[in-house]
Amino acid sequence: MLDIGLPGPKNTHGDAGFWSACRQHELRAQRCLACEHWHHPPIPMCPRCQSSDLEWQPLIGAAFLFSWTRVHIAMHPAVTAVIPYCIGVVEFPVCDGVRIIARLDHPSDNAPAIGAKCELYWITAADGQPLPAFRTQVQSSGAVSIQPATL
Amino acid sequence: MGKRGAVIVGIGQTEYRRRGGWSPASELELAARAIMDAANDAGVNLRAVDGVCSYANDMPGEDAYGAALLQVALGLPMLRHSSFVWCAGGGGACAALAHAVAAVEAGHANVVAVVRSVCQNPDARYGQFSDRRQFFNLVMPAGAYAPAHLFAIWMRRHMHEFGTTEHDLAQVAINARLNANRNPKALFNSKLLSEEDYFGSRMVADPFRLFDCCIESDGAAAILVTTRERAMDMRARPVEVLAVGQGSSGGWGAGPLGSHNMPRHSYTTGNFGVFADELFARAGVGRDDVDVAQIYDAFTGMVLIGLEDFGFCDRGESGAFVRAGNIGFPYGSLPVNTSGGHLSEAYVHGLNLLIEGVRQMRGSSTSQVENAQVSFVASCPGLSPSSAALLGRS
Repeated sequence: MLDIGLPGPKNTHGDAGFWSACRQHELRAQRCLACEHWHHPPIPMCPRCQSSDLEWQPLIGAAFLFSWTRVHIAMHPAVTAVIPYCIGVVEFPVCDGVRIIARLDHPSDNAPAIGAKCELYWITAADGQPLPAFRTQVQSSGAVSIQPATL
Repeated sequence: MGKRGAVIVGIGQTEYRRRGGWSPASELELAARAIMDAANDAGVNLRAVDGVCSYANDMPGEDAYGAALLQVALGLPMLRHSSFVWCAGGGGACAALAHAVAAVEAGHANVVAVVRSVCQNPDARYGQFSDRRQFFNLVMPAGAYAPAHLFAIWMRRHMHEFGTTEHDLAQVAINARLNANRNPKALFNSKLLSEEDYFGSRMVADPFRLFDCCIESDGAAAILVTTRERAMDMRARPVEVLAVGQGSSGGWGAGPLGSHNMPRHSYTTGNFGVFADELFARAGVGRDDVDVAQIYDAFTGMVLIGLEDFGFCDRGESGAFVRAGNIGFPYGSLPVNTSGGHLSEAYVHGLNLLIEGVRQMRGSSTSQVENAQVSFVASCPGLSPSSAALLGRS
């Protein structure tokens, strides 16, 4: 089997803080220290109050599947062995609805349920960079627990 | 509008070919040939062109055809206007027309070409993995390698919220093909598409099957804009630009091509926001006055969402609208993508749709809506900012 890893991010963009947190297995997004508003993707000033006093903070609270697709054609050699695979957009309501796009682990014989609670796990890109991934939780738990999303 | 008012006096195109079919011709050459064709169509000396507008020249080799190179290639003695639409991908087609109209009406230039040329070489295909980073650095690691993946996620949410179905998407694909079957210049002119064919085609990115995705094609298209006064000396019957412009509602950024953090209330829209109402108000026409529409269809779902954004049906009702046969030619209330669109004519990034909107106002479409007076054209829903135009018969 060819040893071709998943393409990962380059750390030459404004989202370097996101990826450096991932290297600690933490999912972080920018939060404004002036008005406490969360936003994603990163941008040099708070979209709500225009402060540049921003901090990468760990996302908190439960995450829910907002939408998804299932990819059936391998457009990169690294995914040839895993197609079809799912991509999910996962929403963190406690963090002003910040959404993270990531691989979604889901059985190929049924459709992921939008609204399902998701749990975070980690996969690894070719260069060793940890990448966030989610799986929908099978058991339903009504309560939204507030805890760092760094399971 | 007075004598300085801008009108469309020429349309041009190269032959549309499957991806690679123009190799080794460059985007520059095809762009230049499309402008020559438009000048010929208008009956104006090519040397009179003194402005060039484009957009979305976003494949590797980003200076593939700039205004300066076009000026040299075409031997234009004087260039008075060049402009490029900022960061709007295929959302920039009608915006480039807006630039041309503004330049002409301000007196900055006399005869302005709007042009788009697409040559997808093996290293630069919209439908394949790309190492471009501007939008993709956050999303590529998720396994989202192409626009189909990202717009599929957007469309899936629309289906979840409103009950839109794969059968509705199929209607859009089949409608485009039926129109292409009447258009000899369409790449899929001779290929039929049944609902069975549609559902039998391979899944690309759920809910998009192969026939939900635009053609991989090469070609170029151009439009010439000048003043009403100058148009009187030209051959072609001018087409009125009733209103044209750009619109993006707040908080979208790269939208579906980025990390999908658009505002929740507008996520399942095409991001045109209040621009839709403003466009109709500026044109002084209502939705019911529109006889025919071209809506950007890199993917079928964009047509559904575009119909909703511009108020041809209520939000969430586009599935029912197409199921009722409204977008069909000739009997629908609003025939859509009458040249076959990106799905079945060619993918020229929205400029071939704009040309078809002009043809409908000249009475020269191969799916000509009888006595059409007002023609609507929308560039790519979901991009920021996108653009749209209302054209009128003169």
